[in-house]
Amino acid sequence: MSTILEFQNVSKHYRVRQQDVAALHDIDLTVEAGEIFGIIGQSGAGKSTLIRLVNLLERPNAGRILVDGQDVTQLDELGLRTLRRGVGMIFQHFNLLSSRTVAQNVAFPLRIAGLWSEDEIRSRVAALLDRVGLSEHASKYPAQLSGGQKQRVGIARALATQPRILLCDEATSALDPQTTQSVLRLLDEINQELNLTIVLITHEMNVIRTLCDRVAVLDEGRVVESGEVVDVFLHPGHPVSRRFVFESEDVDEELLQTAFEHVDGRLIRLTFRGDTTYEPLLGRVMREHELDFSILSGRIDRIKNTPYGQLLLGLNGEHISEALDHFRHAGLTVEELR
Amino acid sequence: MMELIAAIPWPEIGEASLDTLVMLAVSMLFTLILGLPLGILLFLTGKRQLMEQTAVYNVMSFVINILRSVPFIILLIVMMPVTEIIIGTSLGVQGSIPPLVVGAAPFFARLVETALREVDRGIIEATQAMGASKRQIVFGALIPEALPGIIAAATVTVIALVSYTALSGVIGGGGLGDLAVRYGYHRHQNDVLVVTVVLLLLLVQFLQMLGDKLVLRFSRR
Repeated sequence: MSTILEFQNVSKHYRVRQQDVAALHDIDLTVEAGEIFGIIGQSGAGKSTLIRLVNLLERPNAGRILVDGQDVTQLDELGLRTLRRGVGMIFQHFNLLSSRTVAQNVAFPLRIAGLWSEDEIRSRVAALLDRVGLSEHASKYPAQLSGGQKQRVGIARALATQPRILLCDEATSALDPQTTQSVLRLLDEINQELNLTIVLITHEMNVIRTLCDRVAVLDEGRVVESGEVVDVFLHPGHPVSRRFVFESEDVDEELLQTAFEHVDGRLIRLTFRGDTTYEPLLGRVMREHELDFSILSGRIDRIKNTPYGQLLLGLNGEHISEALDHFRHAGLTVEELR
Repeated sequence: MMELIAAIPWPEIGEASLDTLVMLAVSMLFTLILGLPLGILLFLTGKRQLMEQTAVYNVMSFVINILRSVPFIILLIVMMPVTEIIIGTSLGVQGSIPPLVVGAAPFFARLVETALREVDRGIIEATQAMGASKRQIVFGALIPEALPGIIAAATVTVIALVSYTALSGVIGGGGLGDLAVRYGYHRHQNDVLVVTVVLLLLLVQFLQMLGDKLVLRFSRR
């Protein structure tokens, strides 16, 4: 993989009543070509500012932002406009032109670029609308569409100039859960079909889990944790990441701990990942090492395309440490909680 | 009854109505030509807008406020020497055009600025993100999106101009206002006064209806 987007020591502050208020501190991030990179944070964490730095809707006060190795902050007016053609963007509130039809909205970036003939624009728009499933709505106005349909128009419009990066600014936050899933599926398909790099910001862990390959957790203008979604999701290191994970899982970690105070023996958390998830490992290990076990809580699900399982076990017996080694050897992550 | 109607100088009323319409059309045309760019410039140079220029904005805003705070009857008098230089006379239909435009254009510009501010910032941002130039943002997104608001602003302005044209009759501007002053005020011929009022009322109704229709035609929300 090659790097397509890189933040190097990027800082941004705003002046509010003669005072500098920091929005982002020393951000270092790398996005690889073809991946879906998620940035999660609460409102006010600075994620909105961060994503707007990529196409320079906001300018950083310090640091470099490299798109395809080129520092965007050094671009002149014309260079910036060329860059923006190569970076599509969709928005929480869609931001479609209400005075134009669906087809005219999708054609708008093509007309602005002025590089295509009328015939080319027409066939391109038809293909894009077909791709997002809105062909029969081509001559409607945005006001006549549902939220999900509007975001599909937004996606078609963002893809019109064949960008290499797509920025998603809380693209599903204004949609209901079902529509959210269908829009996320569309983004996933597009990512694979076009090998399009997607950078998205969200406050919903569910979006990250369904769609992203890697994630950065943003808190008060700093990246507090980043890595593969599977890693961050299964073993969140920072309190803020932990909060996001447990929120999405409806699990209260502390409550669990106190609830199991009276449970005998050791308290162990096992994490399966990938193919081991479906292996009958637990029974085998317990039998071999002659242990008693109780499953206190557990979940088995998928993170994007990776199946995973996480079990909280109460263990009793003589050979617990051997059993744990056995698990580790089989590639599981073992956390000894008590 | 027939006598009363016969006593009304119908040919003169017809002529005065035509004068009013000509004054209205010409002054509105120039109001649009001057006020629209002024309003757009006012919007663009405003705080946190595309071409933020605080000094330019403040100067324009100040001049517009001055012009808008001068009562139109005073503006008519103050403008007389200027009108004589531009047109050659400060009387009649031609003579009333410059004060009408100077009275209405700043008003219209301010309304255009307000209409443009109503456009969702997200739409400007999205257009910027496509790589649009400022010109493309203004003419491709801002103005089309604000068009219903701009048409509504033009409707309010043209109706204000109707009353301004009537007022310009006081200083010999011609048209229905002039007629009302000469017959109604100087000769106490109330019937003529009533006819002019009815005609002006019809004109205002018609313009408002037309404006509303156009706003509806261009609204896609």
